[in-house]
Amino acid sequence: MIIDFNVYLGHWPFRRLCVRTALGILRQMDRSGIDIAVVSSLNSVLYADPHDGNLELLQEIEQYSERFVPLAVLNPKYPGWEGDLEECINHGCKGLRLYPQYHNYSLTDEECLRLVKRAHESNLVVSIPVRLRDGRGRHWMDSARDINLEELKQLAERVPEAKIVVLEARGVADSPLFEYPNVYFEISGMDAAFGEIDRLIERVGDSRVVFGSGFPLKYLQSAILKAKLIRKPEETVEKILWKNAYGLLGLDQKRPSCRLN
Amino acid sequence: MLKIDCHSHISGRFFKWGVELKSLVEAADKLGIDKLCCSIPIVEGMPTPSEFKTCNNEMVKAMKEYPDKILGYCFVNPGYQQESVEEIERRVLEDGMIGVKLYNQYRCSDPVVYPVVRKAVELKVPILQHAGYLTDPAEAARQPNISNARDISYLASLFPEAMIIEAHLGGGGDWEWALKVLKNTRNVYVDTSGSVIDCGIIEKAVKLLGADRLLFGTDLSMEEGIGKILGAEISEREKSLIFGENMRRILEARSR
Repeated sequence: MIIDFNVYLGHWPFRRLCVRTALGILRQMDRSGIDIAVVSSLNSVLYADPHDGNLELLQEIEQYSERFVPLAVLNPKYPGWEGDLEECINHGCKGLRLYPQYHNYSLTDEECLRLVKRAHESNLVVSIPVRLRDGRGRHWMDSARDINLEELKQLAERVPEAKIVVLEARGVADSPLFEYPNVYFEISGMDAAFGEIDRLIERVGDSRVVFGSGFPLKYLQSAILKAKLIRKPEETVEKILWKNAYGLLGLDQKRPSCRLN
Repeated sequence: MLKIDCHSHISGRFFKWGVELKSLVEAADKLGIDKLCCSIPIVEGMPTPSEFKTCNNEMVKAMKEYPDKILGYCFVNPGYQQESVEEIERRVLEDGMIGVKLYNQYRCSDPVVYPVVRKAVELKVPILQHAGYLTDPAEAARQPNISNARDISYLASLFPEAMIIEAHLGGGGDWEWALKVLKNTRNVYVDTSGSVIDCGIIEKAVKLLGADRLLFGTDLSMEEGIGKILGAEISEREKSLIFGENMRRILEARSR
């Protein structure tokens, strides 16, 4: 079983994406052996009211609910997030996806801390991508910063009870972030061939690392290769491929793997 | 399927961004990469002939250590025209180097570079040109003389027999811009290396340039380099061309 912790659904206004529908993502998942995708709305990144993107996402994946685990995108600076969060939870969202670099706030702003605490109280995981694209070739309208590891560290310190998954990070094995037991790491930004993922596992243990790809912003196959190159016992690889994500998301019921023909 | 990584690096005395030779070879073996075309460039300042010769000495040593795996580009600073031309000739004809590596000391459209290009044409070896169209102002400011696809296209029009490789489509900023510029410049190849694995990058490159002008590379982003080609919605024949057949054709053209 493989759970991809880092999948997007929607449009990206700066570049045409190869896949923009739930069905398209499912086809690629089946081709690549992915059983479950943890998915959030890409539209929500640039909508003023991100919750509209959540509702679009929930509608799009409704008929494939066995294969998708939705995360809610909320902006703690935007009014009404408390009610939006409740609605997302009621519709099966298992966590939050935050984009402070696009929603114009810092992870340590009071409003953000309040949202993260609320998420924890509702048993939701909080996931934060360090970046959504490489800054060297950014579109002229896309001036979002990369989230630095120090900002993430401060969030982990301020809300130690919250479970925070850092997506798209690199260089974390050698950063102080690994010292925070409430921080988890997704592998798509790290190298495997030269041992970065192995080193991370050695430093943080095998319970705080999860598989993810960034699809369809990024090709899925690179992440698959990374997983194949992990030089650790089979039980460790299993934890990274799905068991850790399964626990983080509280997926307590068996999900049948209904595949497309 | 033959896999020739046309863009890789090892560390050297003046280049610390690369990886140790043994680690690189081990990584390539894990991923089924048959050959690694490497260089040891100096990425800051204006390297002197003595410095770039040191890099090439180290490169030749690596080629000798792994003769079936490591191929070497000759790195020069074209500002030292005579020394660069002599160095290229010696390294290709005597040491078996397979091409020329140019970094960002000069834009490749600058006439100072032309003697180096003439020598590469004479020896029938490719020039791997560090390149990028960096849209982020801070990134662009760090490399004021980086060549972009327009520089490369211009150079290619002056030297239609040259085999010029635009380096790291996936590490040179706005890759869509580069592909549009290079669409009709037939003697320019594009290497697919770099950490950027935007879904669709390979499909669009094939659509605009054709698979016969694309060369697989990693620039040390190993899983990214292979994964983007494996994941692309293109034919197996096109993958085979990109992974190794095109580069093999280029290598076979070399004067010996």
